[in-house]
Amino acid sequence: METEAGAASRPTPEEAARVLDQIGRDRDAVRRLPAPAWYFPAVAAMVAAAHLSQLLPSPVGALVALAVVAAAVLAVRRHADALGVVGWSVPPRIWLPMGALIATAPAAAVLDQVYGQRWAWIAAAALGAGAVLAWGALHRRAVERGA
Amino acid sequence: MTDGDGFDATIHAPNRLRVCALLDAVSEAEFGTVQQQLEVSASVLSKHVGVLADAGYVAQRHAVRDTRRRVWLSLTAEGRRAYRAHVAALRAIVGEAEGAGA
Repeated sequence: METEAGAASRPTPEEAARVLDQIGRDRDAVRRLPAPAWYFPAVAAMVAAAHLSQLLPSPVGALVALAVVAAAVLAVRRHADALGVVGWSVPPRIWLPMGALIATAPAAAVLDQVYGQRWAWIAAAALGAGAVLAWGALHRRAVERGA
Repeated sequence: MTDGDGFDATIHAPNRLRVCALLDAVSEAEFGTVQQQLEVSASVLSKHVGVLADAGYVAQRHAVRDTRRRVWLSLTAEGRRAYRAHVAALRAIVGEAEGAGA
């Protein structure tokens, strides 16, 4: 390609293709850093707890939800420290479970507040936790494939 | 150091390009993680990070965790733009050759 210290000359097409291949492998490698085993189950449990806390009487429910959010922030920080990276870009195959995860809370709130369907929080908890676990399974499979 | 087509001589040095590729895939990466992925010494990585930081492409954030001092690296907005333009320029070089050969 060129010397590290000197000015870079333009690569030949073959060199450019090799470079693109290498940086593709580097990006894959960082995406496939294995998350700690506790991470996805812990986040799934916290997502479920945050939803189920809405079934508790006020203000206990709100306090539990706040505690869960604080625990989630700590878990994500711990995860980042253990892994050495923050903020993977989310691959397209994750968009659907992520969308489901994000949509569960407002959907349950509407069903509860407008239609009085309290069970919606249980369904949202199961769906949200399931989405996180699905993400974890996809991540584990990607790590194993890259190993 | 950027040509009209986005080719950036500062980024193109092998290890610097790999640093940018790693950082483009995440928001932030710890210095030790990048070093491990590139399989280079801390001093070599430090030198390249310094060049990228001087160019305004990489930002460094110092943090202490469990009494250990750690350095987190990230691409700046300018760095991300320059890296992506550089990759587009490399793809164009490959594409031109394929087009000429077709």
